[in-house]
Amino acid sequence: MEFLSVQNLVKNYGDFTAVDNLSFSVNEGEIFGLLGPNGAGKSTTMNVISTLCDFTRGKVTVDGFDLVKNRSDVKRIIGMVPQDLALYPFLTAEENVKFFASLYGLRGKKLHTAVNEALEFVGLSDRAKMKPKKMSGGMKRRLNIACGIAHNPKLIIMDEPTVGVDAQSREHILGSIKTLRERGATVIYTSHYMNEVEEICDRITIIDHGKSIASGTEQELISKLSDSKTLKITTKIKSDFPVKELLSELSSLPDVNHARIDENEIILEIKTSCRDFALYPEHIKQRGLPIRGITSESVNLEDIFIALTGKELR
Amino acid sequence: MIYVILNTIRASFRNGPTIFFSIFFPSIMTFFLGTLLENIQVADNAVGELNLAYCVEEGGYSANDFEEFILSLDEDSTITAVKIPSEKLDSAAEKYSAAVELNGSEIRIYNGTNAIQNRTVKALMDGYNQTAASYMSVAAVNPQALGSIVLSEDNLVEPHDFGRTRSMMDYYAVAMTVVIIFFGATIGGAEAYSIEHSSRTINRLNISPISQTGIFFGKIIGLLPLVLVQVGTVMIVSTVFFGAHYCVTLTENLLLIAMFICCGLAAMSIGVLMNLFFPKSNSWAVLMPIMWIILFFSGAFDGDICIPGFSEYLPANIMLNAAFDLTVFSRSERAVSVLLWALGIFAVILLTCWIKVNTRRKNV
Repeated sequence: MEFLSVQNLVKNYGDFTAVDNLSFSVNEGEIFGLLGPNGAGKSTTMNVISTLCDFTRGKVTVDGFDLVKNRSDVKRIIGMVPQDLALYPFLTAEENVKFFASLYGLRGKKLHTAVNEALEFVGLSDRAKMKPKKMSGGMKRRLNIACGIAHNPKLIIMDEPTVGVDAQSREHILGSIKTLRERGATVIYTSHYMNEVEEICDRITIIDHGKSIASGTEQELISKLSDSKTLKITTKIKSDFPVKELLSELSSLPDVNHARIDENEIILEIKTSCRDFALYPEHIKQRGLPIRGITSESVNLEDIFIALTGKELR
Repeated sequence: MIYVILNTIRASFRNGPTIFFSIFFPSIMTFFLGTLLENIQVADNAVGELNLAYCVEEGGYSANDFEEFILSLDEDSTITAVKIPSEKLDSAAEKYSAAVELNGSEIRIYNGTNAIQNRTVKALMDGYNQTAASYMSVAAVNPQALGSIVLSEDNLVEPHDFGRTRSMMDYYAVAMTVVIIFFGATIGGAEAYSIEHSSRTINRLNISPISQTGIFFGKIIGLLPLVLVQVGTVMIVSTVFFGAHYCVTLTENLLLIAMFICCGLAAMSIGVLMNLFFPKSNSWAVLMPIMWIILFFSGAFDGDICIPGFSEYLPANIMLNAAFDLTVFSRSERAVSVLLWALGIFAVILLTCWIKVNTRRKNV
C-alpha cells in the first residue's frame, strides 16, 4: 500500500531548480533509500516531505494527507532524524527525548512510557541521566534517533544517521532501523555508505540534478543497468607469449563481451546469463598458461551509481 | 506550549554564562562599586579643604563688602581665606586652591588644579555676585530703600535631607538593576532562539505539530522567570546584604519593580527581535558592545559621564532618571511614563516578531 506519494515535485530557489519534476512513491512498512551525489536535491526533497520547506509545484501526500492542505495532520505522523545532531546540550538524554515527544501531544504516563521505550530501543536506558556532551559520538547518534522516533511516527525520515559512528554503533543503528520496519514504520533513508543502503533498503531511488534517474530494488537496478560481470584470472605470462592471439580467442568464446590483459591478470567481461564459467580457465590452461587464481566480481550498486551520475557517492 | 515554556526556563537557568552575567556579576558589581567608590564621590570629601586667596583693589567699588563676604567664608572650618597682593595672583595657583580678585565691579577667578574646588569657588562667587546685583538694582531705583533692609542674623539657607542619608550603594543598586536589565534580559531574549540554532534543534521544533505562534509565545513566557529573577536578585542582594535603599514607601517600591520588569520585557523582546531577523549572528558579540556603550554614556557606571544632548535620550539614562526620581524624590511621573513606554515597546516588538515567525517560509 502506497504510504508516501511524491508527484511532479518542483522546488525553485529563485532561478535555481533544486528539485525538477521528481516523482516517486514509498510503500507502507518499507525502507526507502534516497540516493544522490551532493547537491542532487535529496535534502531539499526530504525537507519538503518533513514540512520544513514549501515547494513550488507538485503534489505530496503522506498516509493520504495532502502536504499542503493537511499540514498539521502530516506533521503528527512524521519523525525526523537529521544528519546534524539536534540535541539540547543542557538537557539529559531522558529530558531531550521527553521534550521532543511532548511536542507531539504525549503527556503523563504515555509520555513516560514512550521515553523509556525510545531510550531502550536505542540502547541508552542506562545513560538516561547523562547529558549529550558526556556521550560518545555513537551514543549521541543513537540519542538523536530516539528523539526522532519516541512519538511513534508512521513515517521516519533519516538523513545519514550513521555519520561518524564506530562499527558497533552503526550495526546497532542499522538493526534498529530494521526493527522499526518490522513494527510497521515507513522509513526514508539517505546515506553516503552504499553498503548500508544495500543492506537495509527495500527500494531505492537515485536522483541527480533534482530528477529521478533510476528507481527500484537493488537487484532491479543492477539488472536494468548492467548485463555483465567481471571474471579475473591470474596467471603467469611470459614476454614472448602471443597475447593478442589469446585475447582474440577468448573474445570469441560464448558469453564474453570483452577481454583484456593487465600484466598477469586476464580480465573477462561476461554476460550475467552465463552459466559455464569453467570454460574460460580451461581454455587458458590449454594454451599452456598456469592458473594461479580466479575471482568473480558482480556489478554492485556503487558501480551503478557511478555509471548513472558520473560521481562517487562519498 | 507548556513544554516549550519549561524548556526555555531550563535553557535559561542551566546556561552558565547567562546565570553569571545576569545574576552573579551585577550583584558583585553592586557590592564593589557601592563600597569601594563610596568615599570617593561624596561631595564634601571631594571638595576637601579650600585654601582661598583673594585680592581686593584698595578703595575700590564694593571692596569692603567683598572682603567682608570673603572673610565670612573663613568662618567655615573647611575654608581658609588669605589676602594676597595683586602681583602674586598669577602664581597663586601653586600655593592656594584658587584665587579671586575684585577689580572694579568685576570678580576674576584664578582656577587651581582641582576641578571640584574650582567649581565650588565659582559657585561661591556667583552667589555673592547675585546678591550684589540685587543690591545694585534696588540702589538704582530707590537708594533710600537700602537703609531699610535689615539683615537677619539667622541663616536663611538650611540644609535638609530626604529623610535618610543616601549612599553610593543606593546609587549603584539602582544603576546595576538597570545594567542587568540591559545585559541580562536582552541577551537572554537573543539566546532564546539562538540556542535552537546552535544546538540545531530549530528544525525539530519547526516540523513538530506545535504552531509557530505556540513556539514563539512559549519562548517569551519561558523567559519571564529569568527577567524576574534578574531584577529580584540584584534588588534583594543589594538590600539584604549591602544595605542599599530603594524607595520610601511600599507603593513606590512596587512601582519601581514594575517599571524594572516592564523595561526588562522590552529589553528581552529586543533580543528576540534581533535573533529572529539575524538568526546567525552571535548575540553576545553584537549586543555586548552596544549595551556597554549605551550604559557607559547613560551614566550607569558613573553619573559624571554624560554628553549633553545625547546621553539624556539614551534609554538607560531615561530609566535611571525615572528610578532616581522615584527613589530619591518620591516623584512617580517619570517612572509611570517609562513603564508605559516599555510596555508599548514590548507589545509592538512582540507583534513584529509574531508576524515574522508566522510569515517565515524556510528555504533550506
